[in-house]
Amino acid sequence: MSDERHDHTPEEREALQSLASSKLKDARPVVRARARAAFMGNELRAQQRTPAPRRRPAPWIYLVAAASLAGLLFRMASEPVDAWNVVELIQPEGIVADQELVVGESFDGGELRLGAGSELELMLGNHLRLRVLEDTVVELPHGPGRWINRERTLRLLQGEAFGSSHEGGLGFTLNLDTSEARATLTGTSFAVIRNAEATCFCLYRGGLEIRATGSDQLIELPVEHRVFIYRDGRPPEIMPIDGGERMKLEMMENSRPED
Amino acid sequence: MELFFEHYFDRVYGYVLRLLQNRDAAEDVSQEAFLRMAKALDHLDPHREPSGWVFRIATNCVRDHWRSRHQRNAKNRVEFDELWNAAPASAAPSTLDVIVRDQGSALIHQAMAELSPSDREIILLRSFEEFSTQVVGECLEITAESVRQRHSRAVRRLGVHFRRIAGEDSASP
Repeated sequence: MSDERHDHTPEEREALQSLASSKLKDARPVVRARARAAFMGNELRAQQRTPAPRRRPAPWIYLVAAASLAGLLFRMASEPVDAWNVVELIQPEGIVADQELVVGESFDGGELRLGAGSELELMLGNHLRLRVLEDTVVELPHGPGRWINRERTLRLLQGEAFGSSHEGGLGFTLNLDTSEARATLTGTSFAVIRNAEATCFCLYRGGLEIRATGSDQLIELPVEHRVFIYRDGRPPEIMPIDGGERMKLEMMENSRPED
Repeated sequence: MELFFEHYFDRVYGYVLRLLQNRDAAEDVSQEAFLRMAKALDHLDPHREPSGWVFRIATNCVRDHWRSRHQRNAKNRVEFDELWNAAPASAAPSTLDVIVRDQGSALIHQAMAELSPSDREIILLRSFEEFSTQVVGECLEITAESVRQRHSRAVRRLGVHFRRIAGEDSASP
């Protein structure tokens, strides 16, 4: 302000000097205290209202998020879309399973042991009807995944199981495994029987591709035929199904899943 | 923030009191100014000297006080500049002894009371607080060149009033 001061007249300078040296009475203490409280209180509230500055997430956060998303997608893609549903139970007290079996309710699969006189009929979604007879031990797979894990394997340790798939096909790959062979279903009514001597695959309608364990030979079983895969290494033996098998397979064929 | 308050309260209160020349009003307006500062702290640039910001808020509070006073007293709305220039000084001679400490101060405050509020603003900021033209411009939201011109004219008017009042004072028995 010195540049302007040079232009002032003596009266103006005197007035400004008088202003600079003038003294006012202070604010009353109570007013000062009130103003301080208002200022400090609002300042505190303003600080409380101020959101914490957003910190840039560390790079590993993105990795964890991506991994979590991938895991979620994988789980969605692979989670079973269908569960086994219990259709019929005969002598349920003779059945040992990982969870209680109740007609009309579902279960996730797993090992089933059926004693003498017990029988069980199941549906997997609307794709596969399966009847498990007495004196059978079978491992049932989970249902097929939504987009991936669509190959499932039913393992027969002993006994008999009959099945029929939807006439439009299963919609996923189902393998029938025993120690002696693996059969792959291609829309069919079938039976798989395992006893002390051999595994027998029976085909009533559709197709069944069978490969003996340790063999490169693929057996395409004709309809209404059965094949014996022997444990003792004898070559597979193919022959027409017998009357008892026909009756059971007809029954399964007649109850094939439909839309 | 305690230090901030202690550093500025007396200066702001003095500035407001010299503008309004009314103790009660100055206390209310000062308190309002510090309330506004607390609420607007987020907008304070920590890298800049805060005086311009502080006195701009105080000036706006004083202007709001005048505006609200005028609106209470007069129903018709007028332009702010017109209102500002027309705003009368609150100080009657009888109130000077309430705000000033000594008789020497009374003369200059009587002279200040003769000025328009906008003249008082620019004189107090530039000549009493001794802010640079840039800071005064920031307070009053005008350019530095306008500050120079308006300050020069305001000081000239103050000198005229001061000489007249001092002459009357010395002439009185």
